[in-house]
Amino acid sequence: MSTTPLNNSQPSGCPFSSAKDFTPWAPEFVQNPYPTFKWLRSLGPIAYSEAMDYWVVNSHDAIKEILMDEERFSANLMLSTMSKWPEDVAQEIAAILPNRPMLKDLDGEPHDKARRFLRFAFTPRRLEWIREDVERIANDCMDSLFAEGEGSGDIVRRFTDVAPMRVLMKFLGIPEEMGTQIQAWSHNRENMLQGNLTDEELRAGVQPLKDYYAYARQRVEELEANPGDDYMSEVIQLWKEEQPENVVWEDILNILMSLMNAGHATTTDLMGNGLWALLTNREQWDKLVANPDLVPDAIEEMLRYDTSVPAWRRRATVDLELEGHKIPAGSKMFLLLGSGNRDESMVSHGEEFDIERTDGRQYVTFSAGAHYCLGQSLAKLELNTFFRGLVTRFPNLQLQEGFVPDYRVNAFHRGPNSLPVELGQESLTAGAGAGAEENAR
Amino acid sequence: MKITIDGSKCVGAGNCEADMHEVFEVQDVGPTKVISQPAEDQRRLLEIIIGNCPARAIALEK
Repeated sequence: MSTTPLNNSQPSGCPFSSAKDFTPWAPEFVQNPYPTFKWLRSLGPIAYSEAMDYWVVNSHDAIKEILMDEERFSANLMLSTMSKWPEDVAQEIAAILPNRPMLKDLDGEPHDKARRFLRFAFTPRRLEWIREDVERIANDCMDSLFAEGEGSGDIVRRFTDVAPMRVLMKFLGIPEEMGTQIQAWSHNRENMLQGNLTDEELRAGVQPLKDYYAYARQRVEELEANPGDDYMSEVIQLWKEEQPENVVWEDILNILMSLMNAGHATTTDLMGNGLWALLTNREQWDKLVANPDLVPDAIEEMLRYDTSVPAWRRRATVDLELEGHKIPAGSKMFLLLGSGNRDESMVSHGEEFDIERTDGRQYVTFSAGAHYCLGQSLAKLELNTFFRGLVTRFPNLQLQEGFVPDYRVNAFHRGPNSLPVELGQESLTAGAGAGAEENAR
Repeated sequence: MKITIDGSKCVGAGNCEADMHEVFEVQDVGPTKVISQPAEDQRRLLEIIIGNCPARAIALEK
């Protein structure tokens, strides 16, 4: 990592010299955005980036205020892609995408109505139906972790990339063998909309995007004809009851699309980021090994410390003034959720990973206000199951020595592409237990 | 000391129930309900729960 001193007091690791140059594409920022976040906070809560044509918001309070202000800020940023599409791509895509907004793009009453309709299955009590499946899937993944590598394996490929997808397939009533394909389609869609692709890469993404939507349409038809015991089948039946005259199938398609996109990579990345934090702060891992009842607190700290969604957006609907800046109607706002989570005004020593901290719970990882993450209880169920399983079964788990992860280039998502781990000495399966504690030092 | 929930703001996130299930109950439909009033000695935890509500929907009356 470069430690070249810069002449305007940025912490090392921040590649920008002026806030107007900020973009989420700088390699140093993709690798580790936190030095930049800290530097931006030192300049004030809001700055305008000319390079992005976005107002970049970094303080916890300003972010939360914007997320909760539905009067002056809209969530609708449909087709406001991060890389500019060439005309031919834009035309082809316009023919594929439904012209009705997805859940994340809805405002006001239509959004409230959709949320009220979708929420029933996401309460902690209702999610109990899927707990056994989550545990079974986590166990399968742990069985496979070191199956081939003689004590080493990539935990992203074997576990964190796999388990959330399998849970989601169960939840949505999609055959499990479709998981890998849907993952590829979903990554492609995210990269097209939120990444920094070249025109050629964008063109190559059109056909998979078409295939993705075609599959989703087909799956809605199948689940309507042959409902299962899954959530999507129930949603389809309820939606038909609610609209007996004229079912808006595009909305059902959007619901399925929203869940297929929001329901796996976010959790995969949370697991990867959390695991990186734990294994590079070994004393925190050791605390969990010694007392797995700390897992729920550790999950809260992982959610704060390195969120899988470090940024999100809003658009100003009226001329307004915020923190001394005049912001014209139509302005796009880039909200640095990952910065808000470490804001000095909210949390003390926020750059430190401390699973026992008591001041970290006001994070904005799941957004705030009306769009608060619908699936947060499912995410927490998965994270708790995953980490409890890992610390009890592999107490000596460690990262491959010297490994530094790389991260995919996306304005809104952050997670390691791979994390090679080693079983460590004295695994429980090798009959340890007593020796585990000694070797944890 | 009385806990109230503003039904027009509540989004049913369920953080309050996770922290204090004897007081808060998320509903399948509609805002979260207060199912019992908390004891006076729980004030500090309640203040934390109020701060953590992502919709700022919980209020504490004296």
